[in-house]
Amino acid sequence: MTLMNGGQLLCAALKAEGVDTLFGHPGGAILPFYDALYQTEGLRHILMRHEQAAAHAADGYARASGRVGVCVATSGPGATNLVTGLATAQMDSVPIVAITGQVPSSAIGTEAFQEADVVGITMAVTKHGFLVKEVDDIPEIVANAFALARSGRPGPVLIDVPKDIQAAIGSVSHSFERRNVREDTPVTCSASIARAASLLNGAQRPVIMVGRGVVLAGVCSMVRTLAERTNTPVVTTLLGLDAFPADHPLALGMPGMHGTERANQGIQEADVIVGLGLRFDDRVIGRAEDFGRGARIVHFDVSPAVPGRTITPEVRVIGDLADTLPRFDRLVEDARHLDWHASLATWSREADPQDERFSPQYGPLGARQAIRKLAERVGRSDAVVVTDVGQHQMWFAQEMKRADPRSHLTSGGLGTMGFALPAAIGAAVALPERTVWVVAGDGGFQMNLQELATVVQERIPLRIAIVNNGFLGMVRQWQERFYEGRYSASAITGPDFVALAKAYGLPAWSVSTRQGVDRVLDQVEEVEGPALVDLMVEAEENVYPMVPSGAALDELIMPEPDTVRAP
Amino acid sequence: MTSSMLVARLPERPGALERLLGMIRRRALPVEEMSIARCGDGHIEVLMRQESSVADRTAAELSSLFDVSDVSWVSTERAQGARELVVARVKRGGDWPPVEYRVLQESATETVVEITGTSSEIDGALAHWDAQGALAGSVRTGEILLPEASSKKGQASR
Repeated sequence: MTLMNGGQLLCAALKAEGVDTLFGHPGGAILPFYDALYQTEGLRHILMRHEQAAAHAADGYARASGRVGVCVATSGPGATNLVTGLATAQMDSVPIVAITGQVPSSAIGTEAFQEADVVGITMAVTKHGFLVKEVDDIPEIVANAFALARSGRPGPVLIDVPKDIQAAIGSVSHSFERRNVREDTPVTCSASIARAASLLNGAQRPVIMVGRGVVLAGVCSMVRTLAERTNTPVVTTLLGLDAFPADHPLALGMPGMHGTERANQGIQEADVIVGLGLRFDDRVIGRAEDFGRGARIVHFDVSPAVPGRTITPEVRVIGDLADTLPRFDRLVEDARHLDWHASLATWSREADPQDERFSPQYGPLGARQAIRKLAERVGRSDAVVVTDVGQHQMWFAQEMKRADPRSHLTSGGLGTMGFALPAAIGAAVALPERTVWVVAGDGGFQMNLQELATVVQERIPLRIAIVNNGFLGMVRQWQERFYEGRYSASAITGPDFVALAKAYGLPAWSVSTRQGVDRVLDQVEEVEGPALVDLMVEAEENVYPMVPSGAALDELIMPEPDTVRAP
Repeated sequence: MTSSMLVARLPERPGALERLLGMIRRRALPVEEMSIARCGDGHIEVLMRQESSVADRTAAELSSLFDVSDVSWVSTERAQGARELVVARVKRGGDWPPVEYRVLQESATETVVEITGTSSEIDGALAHWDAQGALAGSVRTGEILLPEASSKKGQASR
């Protein structure tokens, strides 16, 4: 029997789960744990400058690596600062474990200094929260937390540890063992898979919709094979963009609010839609009652709670795609669907967002144009790209050509501005051999720019591109379109990002001309460590196509003809 | 509209019931009636009656909770046998409805009685006293019953 204190037990339990990195910020109520961490080999701690960023970094680590990310915070404000990061991870099914310090057990409920009921506060944004009451429970709770975070639909789990429990001496009477994934996913019945296959086999105009679940299940290549042998067009959601190459002949692109016309029309004209690992959320489906008019819908998902929330599928196939997709694939026959492809071709390119009409041809540097150049570079490499939230996020999604699974990371469900920089730190730590790019707007970047200090202290070689238009661009676009151009609180000033980066110790450049983009991107790529480029772009460029909120997918708003003329 | 009854089984530990109720609130699951009972084996059971059209989704959502160890459906026949308990304060002088009751307390002006029965029997008894102006107050447990059969978590079936 070995005697350890709670902090040491936590460290041992984390190591038993294969944890190698933690992202956190210490404080009074978590000090015993940090003291144990100081004495523990094999656990790297990345000191983030804000707990929200610690949660995003754990999130980025998990998205990039497929392992569980871990973040640590102290009690009270440290713990409450995690909330946005936990909600971000929950919406996008990212497995993270958050460890929080808590005031001593005897002080709970007394409004003690830095006390907050973080288990209660985070109930809506976690899969579960554990409050540790006995030091000997720590190994069991940690094992359960990791198993729960990984299992079923992955997500965040919180462990709240009172300070006295961290300091208490516990006994380890058993070895730490990694627990198997909790078996809470029902075995999928063969009948539903057979019905799904029958629908696809009988389809004349099928579409496959691919979401992040395909990446999580590791079945990207199987989806590609299935699509190719059935000659079925593929639509990829924002979080599924790295599951299927955008330059594949069967790729229709991204659906929904800023999706391609081909994707949206394909969905509307389809007679069978096979959804694989996506939530059919409102930004993807538009007006729910008009989604896929006339289509018979099959929904594969790991969670029985997801199908039916927004649209009603005819067939639900519940289970891990790694299990259900091969069984489905065996029942699906090869097909050609030549008439369907001829029909799809009539929409092709008419509203392709990569068409030059979508960005000004002359005048100041266009945001889409700058992002296109960046996307082309990234597409030629194995880089991971982490985008923030807003116009640049949509432009990059529209411009990216091909990406390996887990190489395009973004906050899709919660749409968390400020996500990109800290999440990229996590991704770069998880994948030190890969280049990691941050693409953020000037608004979102300012929400977590303090993490530049983390980048420098930890020597994390991020390449950071700020798409700087002086606006909260998507807000401004909606105000232009739907509020008669009343730009209420959407113009935003920022610092001199080059001077700011240099103050933190990063080399940085800015560019505001079309001709200069390649040059500064070359300069950034020549730097071995972290570097930043400020892309000073046209202020009022819009993202097109656009399906207004609450409209059907075929009610697209298209751009006005380019009014900017050559000088 | 037909209604269904669903039983969720939870361990008796802090936060378990709060998580279940939170899920019902967050997902806007329409529950018509709910009663909660201790099972005596370290668990509590939450009995919910709701429209059948949303019951499948409720079962799926509740099954996703770590604290919910079992979700099961109550068959129509079994649901018809659900019982309630009511304790009522009744003014003396009126006549009594045709139900079995037990007198808990009597005074010169009021009688406190306990009635068990189906919801409709209890509705009828309370309406009877109310019509006479004799009902001085009552408290009901809501429907309770033993689940007919339990199904493994995540496999709720009718």
